[in-house]
Amino acid sequence: MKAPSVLSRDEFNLAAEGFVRGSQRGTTRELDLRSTITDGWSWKKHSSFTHLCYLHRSRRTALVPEHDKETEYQDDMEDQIQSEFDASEAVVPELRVVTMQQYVAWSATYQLPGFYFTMHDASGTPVPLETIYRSAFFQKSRSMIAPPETTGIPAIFDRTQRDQSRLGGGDNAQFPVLAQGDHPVLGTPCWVFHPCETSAAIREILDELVGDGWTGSEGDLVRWLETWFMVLSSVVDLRL
Amino acid sequence: MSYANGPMRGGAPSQTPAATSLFRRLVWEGTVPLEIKIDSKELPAGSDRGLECYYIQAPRISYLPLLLPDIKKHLTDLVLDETNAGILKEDDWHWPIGLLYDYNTISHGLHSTIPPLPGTSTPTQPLRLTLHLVSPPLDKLLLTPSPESCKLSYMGQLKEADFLRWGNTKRVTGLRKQDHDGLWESLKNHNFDDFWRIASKIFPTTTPLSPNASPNPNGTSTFASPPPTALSLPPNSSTLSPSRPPSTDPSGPPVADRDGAYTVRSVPVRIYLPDGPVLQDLVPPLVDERAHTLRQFLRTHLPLLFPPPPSQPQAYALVQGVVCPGDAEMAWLGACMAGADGWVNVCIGLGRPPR
Repeated sequence: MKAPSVLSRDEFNLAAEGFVRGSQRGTTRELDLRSTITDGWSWKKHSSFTHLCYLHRSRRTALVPEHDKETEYQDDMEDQIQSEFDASEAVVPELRVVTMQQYVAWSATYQLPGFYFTMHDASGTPVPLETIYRSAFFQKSRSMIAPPETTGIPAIFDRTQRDQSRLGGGDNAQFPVLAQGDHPVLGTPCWVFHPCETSAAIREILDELVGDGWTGSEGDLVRWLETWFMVLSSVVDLRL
Repeated sequence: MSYANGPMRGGAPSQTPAATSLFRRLVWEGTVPLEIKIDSKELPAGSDRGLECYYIQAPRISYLPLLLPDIKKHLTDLVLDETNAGILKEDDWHWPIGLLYDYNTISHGLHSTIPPLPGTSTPTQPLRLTLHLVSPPLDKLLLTPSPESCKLSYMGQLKEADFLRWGNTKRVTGLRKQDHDGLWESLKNHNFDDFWRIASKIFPTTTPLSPNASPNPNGTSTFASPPPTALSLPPNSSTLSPSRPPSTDPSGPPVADRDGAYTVRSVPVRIYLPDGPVLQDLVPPLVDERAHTLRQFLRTHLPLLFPPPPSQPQAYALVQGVVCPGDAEMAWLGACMAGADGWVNVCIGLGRPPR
């Protein structure tokens, strides 16, 4: 049997629990070299509705937005003066320590895991979307996704789809890859990341890896989730 | 009724059965009382504190950010000056107003030890909201609740509902941008006809349960006439009728049923519990080839609150503010009692229902 392109809630729960156990024991396959992607995740469940589960980890990182990084290290005096005048363009003028709460929770609508996160600075203030967009977290996908200020709306859109939206076409025209949503278990507001074509990418990878040998065992389900992480880390930097 | 026209008239809404239109109209016109109060700590010095409350009867299917301009306009005359922003600091500002109200009703019931007096009508307590003028540095909101964010959230929910029903979002994404904007504008302007002119292209119809009984004005079965193409309605419909985006399965059941409430994969439904998580799962329109009722649905998902007979239910279900009977069919709720975003929001109140 071939690997599925979606997971049921029970399958996700099994996969998530197995994934955490595996990463704690250090037996995660394929991702050993990039253990920071699998590190630090804990498996949580709702106190009363125990079938509602999710993965969580907390990350502290320093935000060094790319264009500010260039400004910071200028040696030329003139450029430094110029950069001060350009300060109004800089969303984050200095190094900022932020805490990112990362969650992997199952979406009942799409029958797929979704990546949910929040980012706050040391005073507890949420980091604005423009800053998140410019951070290293989104470095890999910035060529493909449009910054929020050019779209004028508080979400991040796939750049190619956004252009198509003017012609009224495209399957995801006008629908963002990153927008605000509610955490499926906690109900709290988060940024939700729905990378395009996740299902198709996972299916393709698993067809290569397991072919017709899918049995739906816990091991297979963990491998499905590891593949999902792989696909996600190709668009956002989970090493941070 | 003016909208119970026969199938020969143009425009999809007129082809909707009268009962369906009636309930959609009732949902559309439903309102709830809101009391908007400015945070008294933020009132400008010297302002008249007696004028700090604004009462409004708000449409259930609308959203708080859409009401802000109206609220600000009235409060500006009395209290505010032009420069104050006005921010509603609720975490759930992107919920429809009716849902906010019903959620408050069930949550209030949780803490109330005094049951409603017998013979009194359904609670008409206003939902109390606080308007903040100043955004403090420790603003915990991820996003300012602007009309743009609200529209985005609305479109996202519309798309999710579409996906749940059909396994793809072709109906919503197949709409032209002017239709997407038109949906939102008709919400803002509270125009039922404008809204349903577009919404009927993507929301399920309430055709009969039996797939072979498609009504046809000629009196012949649809199978006897030339097979309809994906974009056309039954052959003798008015050519002015707007067409629906193509369905994914050209070899499926006749077009008249393809968008039927009983052929969806899952009805978009969410359950809201007082102090609990929001529950969502697949809700098939049929169970064992019979219509999936609200009673069955609640017994499946909340077996302790809705136990099988002879035990009595320990809770009740509110949909659009109405205590829903157990015989209500989930598919019908999805077609007639959903919000403007297509979702059926079921709020569970503990104990006996309010009269």
